[in-house]
This record gives sequence, structure tokens and C-alpha cells, in this order.
Amino acid sequence: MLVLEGVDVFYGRIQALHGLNLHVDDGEIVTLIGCNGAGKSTTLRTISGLLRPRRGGVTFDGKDLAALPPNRIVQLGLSHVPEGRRIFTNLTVRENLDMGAYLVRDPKARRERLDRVFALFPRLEERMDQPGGTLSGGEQQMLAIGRALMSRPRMLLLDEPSLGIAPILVKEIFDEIARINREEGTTILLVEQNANLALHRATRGYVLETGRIVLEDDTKNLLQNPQVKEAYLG
Amino acid sequence: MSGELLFWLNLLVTVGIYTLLAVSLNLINGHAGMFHLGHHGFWALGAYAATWLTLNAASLPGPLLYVLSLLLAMAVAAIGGLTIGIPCLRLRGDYLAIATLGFGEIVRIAVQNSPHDFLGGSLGTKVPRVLMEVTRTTQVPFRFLTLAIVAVACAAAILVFRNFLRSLPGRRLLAVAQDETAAGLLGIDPTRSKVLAFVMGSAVAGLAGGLYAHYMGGINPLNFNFMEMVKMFLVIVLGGMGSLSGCVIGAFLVVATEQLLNRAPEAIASWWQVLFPLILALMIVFRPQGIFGRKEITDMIRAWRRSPA
Amino acid sequence: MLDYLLNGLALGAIFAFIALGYTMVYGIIKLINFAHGEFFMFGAFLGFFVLRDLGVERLPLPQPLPILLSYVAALTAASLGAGALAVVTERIAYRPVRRAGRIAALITAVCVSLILQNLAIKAWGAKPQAYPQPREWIDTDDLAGAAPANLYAVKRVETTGGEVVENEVRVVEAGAALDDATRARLRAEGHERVYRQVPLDRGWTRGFVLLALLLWAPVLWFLVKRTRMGKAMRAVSEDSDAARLMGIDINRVIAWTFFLGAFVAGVGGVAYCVSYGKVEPLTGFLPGMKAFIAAVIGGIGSIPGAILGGLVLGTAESLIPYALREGLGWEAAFAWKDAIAFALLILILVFRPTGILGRAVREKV
Repeated sequence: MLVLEGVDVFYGRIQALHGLNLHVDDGEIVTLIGCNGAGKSTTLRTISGLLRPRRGGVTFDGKDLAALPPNRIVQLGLSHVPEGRRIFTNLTVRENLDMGAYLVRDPKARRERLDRVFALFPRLEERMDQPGGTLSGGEQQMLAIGRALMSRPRMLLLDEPSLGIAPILVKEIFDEIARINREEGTTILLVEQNANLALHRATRGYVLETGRIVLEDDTKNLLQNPQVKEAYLG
Repeated sequence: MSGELLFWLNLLVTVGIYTLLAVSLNLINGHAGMFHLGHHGFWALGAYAATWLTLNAASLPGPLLYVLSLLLAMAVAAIGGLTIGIPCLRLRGDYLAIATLGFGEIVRIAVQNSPHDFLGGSLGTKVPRVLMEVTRTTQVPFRFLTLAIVAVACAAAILVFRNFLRSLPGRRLLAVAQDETAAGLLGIDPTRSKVLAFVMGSAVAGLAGGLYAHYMGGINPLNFNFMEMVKMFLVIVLGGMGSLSGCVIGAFLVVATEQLLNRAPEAIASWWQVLFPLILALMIVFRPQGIFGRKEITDMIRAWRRSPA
Repeated sequence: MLDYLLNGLALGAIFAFIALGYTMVYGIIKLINFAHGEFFMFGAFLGFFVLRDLGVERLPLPQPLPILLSYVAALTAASLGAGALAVVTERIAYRPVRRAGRIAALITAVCVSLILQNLAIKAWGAKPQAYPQPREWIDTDDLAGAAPANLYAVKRVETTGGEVVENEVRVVEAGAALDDATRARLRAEGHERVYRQVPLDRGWTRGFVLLALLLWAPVLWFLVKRTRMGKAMRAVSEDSDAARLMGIDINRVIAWTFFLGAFVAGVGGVAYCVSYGKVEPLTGFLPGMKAFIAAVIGGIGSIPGAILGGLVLGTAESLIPYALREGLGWEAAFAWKDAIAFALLILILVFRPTGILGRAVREKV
């Protein structure tokens, strides 16, 4: 479904990704783990079009993404929940969700999506008219995921959904992520620093170190891998 | 023959005055990294201060009056710099730009509304030709003498600024310009450094104003409008923000283009008003570091000598 | 006193119209759009041409419909024209420097402003031109009794440059008898219809400007709060990358913001020139600066702030010199009103840079 081949990305003169190869198949949950600065967020930002690869190809269902602007990529069914949530704090919860459905013109379809998101995250319905900035960290994360789901994506890119969130909410959010994958058939690429959590939820995993993929395997095997155990699961 | 000579002398004197304006603007905008858009205000303050003294102390011998009026011009402009500097320097980026632009406009409005018998109001005022006592004429000898004075002033200003930038307070200023927070953590008082730059810059702009008033023999508020400010900006952007020798080259390019165009028929000459902001915008987009960047001519000569072949 | 207050409010309403565009553009791309005053000037010129040359007021309809329609046409042309110019300017000049930093963008904006000013001088001349007064057209046959006011006819003059200029020519003086002989003379000179100038009542123009603001404010509020594009504008202004991830085409949103801001400024442009009776290429500079000050006073980026700031500045510009003149006997106080505005700007920037309604945003270090 999503294929990255030999992707090089630069910030000015500094190379952040070195010949990255990665693929995600239909219906999978794939996780990308690694330390701070390994290039996890850069990978996601390149897929969603916020960054341009200097070399290499990014394709989604065979379509080349490398030359498309982010708004066209969303249109193809790929939705990105950025690191740090990045919800619109001055817009209400409802308006945030409306923005998520920016490309859905049909009011009936929007209503259906909204009901679906409220079913997944009932708290959002309670807080519908509150400005996004007044939500707690966990609620903001739910809003960010809900917002991304409003466009009815076939694939979801999640960047550190556990960052800065109370542990009790982290479990709830990961349960919902698994449910989205199961019930809607949404393919998921999950970037996480909390490798333990991510590897238990995903089917396959990649380990990223200083801009290069160093390991790629089923999560079962990665959880047993001594290197991974020592570096990430300690 | 004499007409051609007068033209080139006039051009060079104007280049000199713009060089003074540009090096002083560059100290504030280029080296100190403050986006200041009110330099025409300091220039006007200097010009009007010098004019005021010249009008009101006519009994003094001409050359003495000339020197005194230049000193007063510098002092008044520096006080202006201090007055506006202290409150505004807490502002950053575009806010500072707008506040200083507001200051420049206030100066212009103030002289425009001044009583006619004080500074001439909106019609402007004549400046007595005090250098006449030396040159006897306002033709070639007068322009030669002014050119010499302006050249000395430019050389002095560049030398003072260069030494300042190599001194400890100058290094502090460059540090503040690079990263105010970091410099503050090192114990440097950013506001003091910035005010110092502002005062030095405004004093030199005031000097340029005094020289200009005496050279022109008459000034009016329209000489110091915002277009002039943008023109000074073009000079330092062409030369390179942060390069002193770049200012000289930039001033020459801008003034020579303007004055040579002015000899063309009106239909062509009037395009200058469209052309110079266009050049500035294109420079900003395509070569924001200017022709020289932060380098000085002396650096380049040194590099060229060192390079083999 | 009340008169000065109303004048101030009307002037403030015009500042508010211009300030809206400043604040919207600043809100979305953090650019002080220096050329905004030139969009305003461009709109004012288009309105001028419509009022002078289009002849809407000659429509054979009962008064005051033709006059009203001519102003509606002028306002429409001004708004659409200013909006179009803003969109083109954004595309050509601002988009390339959007990522080059705020200072580079500001310098570009200053340059664009000067370029537009000077192109206008090239196109329309530097001299101020009288803004057309409303005209009431009368059939020569309907003239009876004595002329209530001077009657005019339009005369087309070809200047040496080859351009055709419409001039007003007085054909009958006020109070002159409109007998058969006069009528015959007018017809012989080819004047089927003549007009008289309707004097502009200050009270009316003031009322009109304030009413326009009263009507526009809720429309804008609705556009920004309730429509899809308005929500997208707010989203882009808060976090443009996140907005891109929602599928928002930020270039389109920014273009619309420029259009809307300049559209409203076009209304202000006509209103300003009608109030002051003239238009020139430099018309936009000072009101543009004032409107920016108004936006800062209200809190730049805030739409209610722009309206409030405009009204505050207009009132201050009118009442402070009034107080200085009446209280201190300083006769020249009104000549200093521009300096007062700039001083107000510096004070606000230094003591409360977020303005009256602005939210405190920490600058990123």
C-alpha cells in the first residue's frame, strides 16, 4: 500500500534520512521505533508531503507522492496525526473536527464521520463547543486522532501518540487505535518512543537509527531480539 | 566642461553623504541586527539642527560655524537616537521597524508644522552659505571643498565603526545580534549594547544631515521622506548587510544610477521611482546577503593575494 | 464637541475598514502588508472612474435611485478591483518570500507599496483629482422657473497626451431664469440633459460610513466564524503545517484572505475619498499607516480588535487635538494629529504590544 524506496531527506545541508526503505501493507499496523532524532518524525513528514525527499520514491497505492502537496496527499486517503498533537487551540472541538473533514463536501458524509468519531471518543462529544486549547493532553490527543479520522483515511500516520499523556489515558488511546484498525480496516503506521507499547500492538516493526533502518521484522521477533531488548525495552 | 565637472563633483558628494547614512544604518540594521526604519528621522534632525544654528549664530566666522553646526547636528541626532532607542529597543523584528518608522514620520511632521520663522515649516528654509567665506563661490571650489570634507567624514566614520566592531563593546554587540538570549546569559546587557549602536548610528546620520544641509544651501521636509529611507536600505542591501566597504560601493551604485538616469529624458528618468524598490525586492529574494555579504574589501584583497596563481 | 466625536468615529470607521485587511493578513502569514494602503488607493481610483465616467447616475429612474446606484457601482468596482490587485500581488511578490523570514517579507512589502504608488503616478498623474460629487441629471425639457443651483454639462476634453478627460462645464448659473430661450440654447449646444451637483452633507456621509461598518462587521464575523473558508483561515493562522495535513490548500486560503481584506479596504477607499473630496496616488499611504496603527491598538490579528482600534484611533485623532486647542489654546493642534497617531503607536508598542484585545503570544526564541 505504502512504499518508500531509497529515500534521502535533507534539512539544508544535513542529511536526516539515508536511503530509507519501508513498506506498509493493507490492513497492517506497522511501527517505527527509534531514539530521539533518529528520523522517525522526518519519515512521517516526508510521507505526508511536508518535506520533500531529495532522492528516492514514495508511493501510495502505486501513486507517486513525492511531488504532491500535502493537501493532495490527504485527498488520496492518507492522514497524518503530527507529533505534539498540533490541534487548533483557538478553534472549538467541533471546528477542529470540521477542519479534519475539510475535503469532505457532502454534509451527510460529514455527519456520519462525526458520529463515528464521537462513538470512538465520547469525551469529545461532551466537550464539543470548548476551545481545543482547554482540553487535557489526553483529550487533545483524542481530538488529534479524531480530526485525522474525519477525512475517512485508508491509512493513518501516528506520531508519538503517547507523548506527554497520563499513563491511564495512553492505554485507552492505544485501545482505540487498535479498534480503528480492526473495525474500519484503517492501515496504521505508528511512530513511538515507547517501544514496548508499540511492539505489543503492531504486527511488524522497523528500528530506525540515525536516519537508517537497522532492523525490520515481525514484532514477535523484535520483542525477542537481544539488541532491541537492550536498546529499547530495557 | 565645467558643467560636466560640476555634475561629477555633485555625484561624488552625494555618494559621500549616502555612504555616511548607509554605514550608520548598517551599524544598526546590519551589525546590530535591529530592523530600524526611521533613519530618515535622524538625518532630518541633523540637517535641521545644523540649519538652526547656522541661522541663529550668524555673527560667528563661517568655518567655525560650519564645524559647530555639524557637532550640534550629531549631538541632536544622538539625543534623538537615545530618546527613541531606550523605549523601542525592547521591541523586536517588525514591531521595532514600525515603531522607528513612526518616529521618522513624527520628525517629518514636526518640522513640517514648525512655525515658518523657526525652521521654515512645510516650505523649507534656506541655509546660509557659511563656507562661502572660504570658497567665495558655490561652483567648483565649493564642491571640491565639500567633497574633501565629506570624504574625511566618511573615512572617519568607517574607521571609528571598524575599530568599534573590533573592540570589546563591539564584540558584545555582535554577540547580542547573533543571539540575544545567549548573550544575556553571558552577562552582556543587550539593551545597553543596542542603545550604544543606536546612538552611534544616529549621530553619524545627524552628521550626514548637517553636511547635506550646508551642501544643498536649503532644505525642506520632503527631502527626508520615507522614499529616502528605502533608498538607504537599498544601499546597504546592495552592499551587503554588515559590510562597511559594501556601503561605499552600494552608495555609489545607487547614487550614480539615480543621477545618470536623471540626465535621461523625463519619461525614462521617472521610472527610477519604480526601479529602485524593484531592485531592492529582487535583491531580497535572490541575493539577500548583498554583493559583499559580511565581507570587507580588505578581506577579499587578502584572500586574493593568498590564493595561488 | 459632539460634532468632533462624530467626525472622529466616522474617520475611525474608515480606519477600521482598512485595518481589517491588515489584521487578517498579519493573522495568517505574520506579514505587515505595507502595500495594503495601495490596494485601498487602487480601489478609490476605480471608484473614481466609475463615478466620473460610467454614467450610472444618468439612468432614467426616480431620484435618489440613480445616485445611490452609482455609489453602489463605485463601491463594487473598488472592492473587486482592490481584491483582485491584492490576489495578484500576493501571488507575484509575497508567495516567493513567504519562507524567507519576516524581515525579508516586510522589506518586500515596503517595496511593493512604493512600486504600486509610483505605477499609479505613471498611470494617473501625481496631482490630486477632485472626487466626483453626486450628480442629479435633469432633462432639459423639465427645467422650469429659476435654476435652483448651478447646472452643469459634461464636456469631453482631449488633452495633449491624447487621453480623453471628462470635464464639468457650468452651463447655467444658480438663480438664472430657465426660460424658453435658455432651453433652446442648451439644446442647440447639444445638452439634452444637464445635471446639478447635490451637495454632500457631512452628516450623511458620516452616517453612511458608520452604517456601512455596522453592516460589514457582522458579515465579516460570519465569514470568519462560520464558513468553511473562514475556519480554514483561522486554522492556517494558528498552525499552517497542521492545516496542510487537514487537506487545506493554504495558498488558496491565503489568497482568499488577501482578497477579503482588500475587498473591505476598497469600501474604505471610496468612503475616504468621498469624505475628503479628492484622490491621488499617495492617498493610500497615510490612511494605510493609520489603519496599521489602529490594528496594533486593537491587537493585531484580532478582527474585533481592528474595528475597535480604528474607532479608538479616529476618535483620538479628533478629540485629542480638540481638547488641546480648547483646553490649552493651542491653535495648531489639528496639524499635529498625524504625529499624535504615531506617538500613540509607539506608546502602545512599548507598553502593551498585544493591543487592547490581543492575546499575549510569547515570541519563540
